[in-house]
Amino acid sequence: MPHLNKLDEEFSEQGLSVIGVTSEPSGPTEKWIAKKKAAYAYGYDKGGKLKRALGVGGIPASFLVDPSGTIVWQGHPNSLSSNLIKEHIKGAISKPLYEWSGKAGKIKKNFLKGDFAKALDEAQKLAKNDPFGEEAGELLQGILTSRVADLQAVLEVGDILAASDGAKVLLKGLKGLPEADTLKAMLKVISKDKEMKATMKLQKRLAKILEEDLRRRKDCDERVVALEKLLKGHRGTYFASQIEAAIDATRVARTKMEY
Amino acid sequence: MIAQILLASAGAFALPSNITPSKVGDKLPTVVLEGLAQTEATSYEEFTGRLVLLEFFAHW
Repeated sequence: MPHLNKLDEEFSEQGLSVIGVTSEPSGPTEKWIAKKKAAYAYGYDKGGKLKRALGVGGIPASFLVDPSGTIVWQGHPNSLSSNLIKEHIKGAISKPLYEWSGKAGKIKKNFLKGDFAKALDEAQKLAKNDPFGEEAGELLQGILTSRVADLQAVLEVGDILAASDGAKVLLKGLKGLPEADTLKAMLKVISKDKEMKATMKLQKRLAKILEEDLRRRKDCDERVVALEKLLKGHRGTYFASQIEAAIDATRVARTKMEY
Repeated sequence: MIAQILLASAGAFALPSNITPSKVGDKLPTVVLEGLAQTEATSYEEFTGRLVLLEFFAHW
């Protein structure tokens, strides 16, 4: 803990946030935090969802996530060096969103709603008399650029459904921005391409199968049968790899069930 | 969305090392943190744009 307190203190103003994550109940957690004198932020990952998504099998485990949301390091917290932080802190916002108040509060509100157009507009207004406006504007532009690039990458691998759904959501907040044209062009490509459209239809069916709850072994068996049926005739495609991963995950889930 | 569901279920098997397989280079999945304490932030989204060190801990 002293190591993390120190990192938090040393690099907070430059853009680092240390966040403790636990899936344990709050009572004993609060006592432990007080006893260990941990001074950084912490929160509850109910049901261990994040822990599972990141494949954390033992504790402690930590991840360094760069300002664009990419994991750049993982390991025991004590083995994280100051040098590594210095390497990745470039471009991080010096003042976290929760401290944006007054005029910056308007930027924050629009950004959290997903309205990049209004948020960027507010940032531009603020920049006229406060240098923070420019920093905020650059951050927003960087996030927007990377979200568009992420969607293009998702489309490129072959997850047509994720790219299409993501583009539609992001588009809502891009009125008048050049990125809106990029996404509209992307959606147009999808809608005109027969093969992509067919894949998207299949991916929707896959998503529907994966929505069902897995409570008993019988549910798992039924899911595997449905997935294998969907797989027929598509082997070797990205869609097939999505199904295969789903089959593997379902089989693993089955081994953890008692009946 | 599918990728996220797969990630969430694929992580269910705990292998010997603390984190398997390596997630370096991957995008962080959607983070929902409840009851944020010792910060003014009320959701993980309010850490957007920061360099974040996530530390998984337990009180034992």
